[in-house]
Amino acid sequence: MSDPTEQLGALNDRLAQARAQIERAFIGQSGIVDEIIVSLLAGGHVLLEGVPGLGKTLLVKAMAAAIGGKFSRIQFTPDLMPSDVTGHAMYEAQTGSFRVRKGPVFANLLLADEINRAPAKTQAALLEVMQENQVTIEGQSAPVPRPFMTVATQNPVEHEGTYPLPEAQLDRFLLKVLIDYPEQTAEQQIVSAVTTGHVGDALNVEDVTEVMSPEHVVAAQQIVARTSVDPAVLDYAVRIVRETRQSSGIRMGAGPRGSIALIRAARAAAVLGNRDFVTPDDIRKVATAALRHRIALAPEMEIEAYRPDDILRDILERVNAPRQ
Amino acid sequence: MNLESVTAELRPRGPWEAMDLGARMVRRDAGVIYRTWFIVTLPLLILASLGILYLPVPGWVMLAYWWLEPLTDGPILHVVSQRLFGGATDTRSALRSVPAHARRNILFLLTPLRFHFARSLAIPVTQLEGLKGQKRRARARVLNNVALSHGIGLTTAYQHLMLCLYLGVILFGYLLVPEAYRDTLGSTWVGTFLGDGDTTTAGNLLTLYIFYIAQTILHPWYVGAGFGLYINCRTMLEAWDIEVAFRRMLQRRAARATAAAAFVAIAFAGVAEPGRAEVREFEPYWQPEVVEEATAAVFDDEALAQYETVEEWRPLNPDDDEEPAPDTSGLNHFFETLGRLASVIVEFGLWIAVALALLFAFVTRRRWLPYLRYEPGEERRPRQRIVLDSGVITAEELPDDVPDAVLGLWSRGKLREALSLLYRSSVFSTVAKHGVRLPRSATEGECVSAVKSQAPAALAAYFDKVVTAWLWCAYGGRAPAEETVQSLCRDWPSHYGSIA
Repeated sequence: MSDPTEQLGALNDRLAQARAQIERAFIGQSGIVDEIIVSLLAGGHVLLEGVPGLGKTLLVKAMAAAIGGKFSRIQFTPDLMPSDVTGHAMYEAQTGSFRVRKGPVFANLLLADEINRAPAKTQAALLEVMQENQVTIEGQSAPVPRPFMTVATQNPVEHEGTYPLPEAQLDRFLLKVLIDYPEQTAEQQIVSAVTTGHVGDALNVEDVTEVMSPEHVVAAQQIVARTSVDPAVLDYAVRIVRETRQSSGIRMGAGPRGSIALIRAARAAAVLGNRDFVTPDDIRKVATAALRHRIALAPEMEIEAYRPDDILRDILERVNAPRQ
Repeated sequence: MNLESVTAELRPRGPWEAMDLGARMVRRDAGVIYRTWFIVTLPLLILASLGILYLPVPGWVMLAYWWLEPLTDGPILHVVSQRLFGGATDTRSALRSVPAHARRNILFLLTPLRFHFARSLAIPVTQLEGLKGQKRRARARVLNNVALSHGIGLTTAYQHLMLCLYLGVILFGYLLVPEAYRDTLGSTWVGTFLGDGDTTTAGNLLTLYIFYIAQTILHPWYVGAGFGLYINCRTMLEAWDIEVAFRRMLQRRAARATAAAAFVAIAFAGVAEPGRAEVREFEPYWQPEVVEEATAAVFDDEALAQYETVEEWRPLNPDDDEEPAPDTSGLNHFFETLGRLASVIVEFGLWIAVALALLFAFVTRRRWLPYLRYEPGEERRPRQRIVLDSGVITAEELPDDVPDAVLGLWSRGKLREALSLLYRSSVFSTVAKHGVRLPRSATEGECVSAVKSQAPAALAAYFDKVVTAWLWCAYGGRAPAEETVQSLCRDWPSHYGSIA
């Protein structure tokens, strides 16, 4: 199966199955699932933001169950140390040598729950792993397994006792995904699924079956990397990002890493749309999620209760889509 | 009350300025006022002290002392009012007025008026005018309409300042207590005033005296400020200032009228004499020298010997039309040269702007010239210019025969250009001829969605095919089969007709 079109078709079949499996547990939020899959395909990391009780952890667990591989979860707390994340060297008296004990980051899918509750030092340790895809312990570097994706969650409501991620570190996340309350019918399905035949209200992903392997994901990432981007589309993406630097409502616009992230995510979105080329619609589709955490609103806009999504929507309406 | 002899300038003032005037009147006669004050209040203070010492209800004694405060207002008002209207302001007359003031409306003074929020404004009505009943209420109503809020503000400020002074004196006494005795003596000192623990007779006396000090410092000024407010109200309501002005004017006119009568009497003195009935007989009296003499005699009158200097603006050398010679010396010459240079630069800049505007109009003539062209008999195209916000597609850019142009480009191997033209023409015609409204900066996908929701299904299906062909060719690098393009071009006229 060396034909790229066939490869793409097969990948899309698997992705459709994975999406269906995830949505069996994470009901009624297909857009969120798509964004998570886009990030996985693009080899990026996701910052999930939503009020408690919307199934952020469930989403990541379901995804881990659908794509196989190793799943780890770290609950970030104020006393969490960097070595609790990355691992450490431990002296063994029997052998008289040090043994490296790898931390939870050595997983294919890492859930960093409430990342803003840990101090900056611990956050930086994780973000460094996300950037470098390797961990150095006692001078020895060890790569994290491929694929490696971190899904960090944070609560937008409770800010007391938190350490907000600085803009430079937010930049490391490919997408920032916002989870909102589900629709009425979706919520009914969730309640029914959780309460029927189950004891307690524990999140249940037993019904999710593994339809992809980590190797499949790595192969899919290769396909995404080969997706072509026409210069006109590239120009469109860059114009959008540059517009964030000129908009009067934005104090700090996205940098070139924003353009890169936009194209990476758009490539994955194109593959998810069963295409091996990126269209302006792919750019539009991922632009908000790829840029909302890379811009800082002007104080007057924050006072007026504008959100980054409002400003980005305005920018997307202003920037001309290519037509020739 | 004699307005002619008023010693302050009567004119309508702002309320705060009026209070300031009252305070200044108190300051002017502070000696008389304070002498009277002490003579009147010290016996009361002594009586209160004795009451505290010997009566079992010191609290009631202090309350009574506080209650009787309005009795001290009369002498103060007497002094400032007498001085204002030119009367005697010595201590003796002030003291003589005390019984009269004390008797006047005393019940009203100590009952409802004691708790009046604008007491300083209301007291002159009862104490100076002596009005009672309906008349007093009517006058008070009129005054309150003008200055009640400021009267309340004055009383509020007075009470706060009293409290500050009272507490300040207590704190000052506390600070004088040596630090070593602060815990015992200091707390006793403060507790005496705050009612903490047993209230001693000494504490009651000290409270009374501190209150008296604060009262002495502030009360005359409070009464004076209220009097200023009262006078200002009456000045405004009864036009005292105008009355004073008229009286003064009348005095001046009366003096001049006397002089004029004298002048006329002298001038016509001969008219009444029968022997001089002939016309020529009058002439000597109208001779210039006679008039000058009579005029001089009039102005010799002491009443008319008043001169005043009147200044007014008049043109300088009104008959001289020649412009003064320009001052070419120094700084003036420099600024004149600078101004001329600036005017030249501005004029030059304006001409450049005009030239640029003309050049811009020439360059963009293709865009605006069609709007000026009159084409009789030819129906104007409904919407020649489709603004998609993402760039403008104009009918001029598109050929009249789109399919033919597309196929021409296709045959020359310009695949992307051919499909771009087909796509843009379809977008233009969809908007212009089918009235489809596209979102701002619509992408291909958004165009397809809009057409699907707003246009007939056949058109939407055709438009979808065009967009798909364009997308795969432009961004996917895969041109559709020639048959597909021919099919799209063949179907184009049935959906859109021609651009024209």
